[in-house]
Amino acid sequence: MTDDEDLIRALQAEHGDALFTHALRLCDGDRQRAEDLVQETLLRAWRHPEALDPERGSTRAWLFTTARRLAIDAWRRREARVGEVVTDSIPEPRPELSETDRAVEAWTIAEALDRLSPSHREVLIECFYRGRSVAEAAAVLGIPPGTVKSRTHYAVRALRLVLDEMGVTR
Amino acid sequence: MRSQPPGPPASPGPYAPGPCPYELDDGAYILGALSPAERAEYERHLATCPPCRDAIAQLAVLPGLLGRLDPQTAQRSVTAPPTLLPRVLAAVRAQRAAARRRRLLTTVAGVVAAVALALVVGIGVKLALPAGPAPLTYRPMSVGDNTVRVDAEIGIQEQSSGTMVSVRCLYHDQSDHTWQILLIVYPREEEAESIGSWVATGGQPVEVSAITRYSPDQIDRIELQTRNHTTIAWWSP
Repeated sequence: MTDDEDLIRALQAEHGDALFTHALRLCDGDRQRAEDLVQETLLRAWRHPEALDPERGSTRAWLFTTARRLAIDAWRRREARVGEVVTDSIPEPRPELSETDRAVEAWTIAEALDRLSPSHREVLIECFYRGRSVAEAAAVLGIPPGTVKSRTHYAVRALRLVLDEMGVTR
Repeated sequence: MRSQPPGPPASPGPYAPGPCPYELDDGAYILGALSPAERAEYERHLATCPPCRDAIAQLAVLPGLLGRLDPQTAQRSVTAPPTLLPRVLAAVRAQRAAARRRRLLTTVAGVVAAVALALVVGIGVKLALPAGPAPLTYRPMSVGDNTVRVDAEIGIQEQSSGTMVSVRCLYHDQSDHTWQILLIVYPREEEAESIGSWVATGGQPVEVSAITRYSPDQIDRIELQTRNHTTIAWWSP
């Protein structure tokens, strides 16, 4: 049966780079763990091909969410093991936002950005993360300033919608 | 989603109904990308334009959220290593081969058991049955990546025909919302199977027991999932 292998090949061809980039973020830049995570995610897809039914939503969104879920599980297992070592000291009161929560928040935002179209993601990265003005972003991207403005107008709305869908905002 | 202008303004002012010339500036404004002069002009405009003010109110949450991702990570984009695909394909083949071996073993074991039973019945010897199942103890399940809070406990009991899985759960949700919940068993090296499903309502405890043909040591993981396969709770031996 090569159908399974065709599925994996097709997923890897269409989403491989984006999924690896996503996994690398989830693994804090550790390439070995990122590869493990991509493998586990694709194996899940292979075991649950019904989850990839286009009528049930975007394949990329499913892959990203599955990878994030697996990364969170792995993270919690590590955190639990670390917690077990300290047995004879009184546990510190938990800070309001744990390291995990913070990481999960960052991953969620990264995932939302990855779900945007490349042109939307691009203007958000230039204008927000690189701190460029409309004029500077226009020069870097080789498009008129008016286009940068209209793209950011639509990009922030698309982002808002994705975050709503992911349950971050409502 | 575009914000809808809420109709004509309550009081006459500089704002006139119709397309607003500043409509497209809101994204650049909240991202902090307008030049100081444009920014000042846009803020003067905001004071007179309710639709633009509404739009900004809708989007105001975004800079704070974007700021939770550090710029370096946000900009990273890489290509997957060429070794990754062969590795995943090898894992798929290995899992398929393991599943085939297991099916074969199960068949052989079934034949052996049938022969043994025939012999026992034939010579009229009564076999002592193994002691009854160990008492059921519940353990908490780990909570998945949820928006709704759930407390779930799981009990596992080995039986001659497989494993009895008992689940008790309570959804903390005040609304009348209901969810379809699936109980999924992930055996090691074989495909997952759903062994039960039910409808859950916030605040109403549910107790469910179901049986799977896998023995406890063959089970890798048990999950409660929603119908779209979001994990809401999981347990792993």
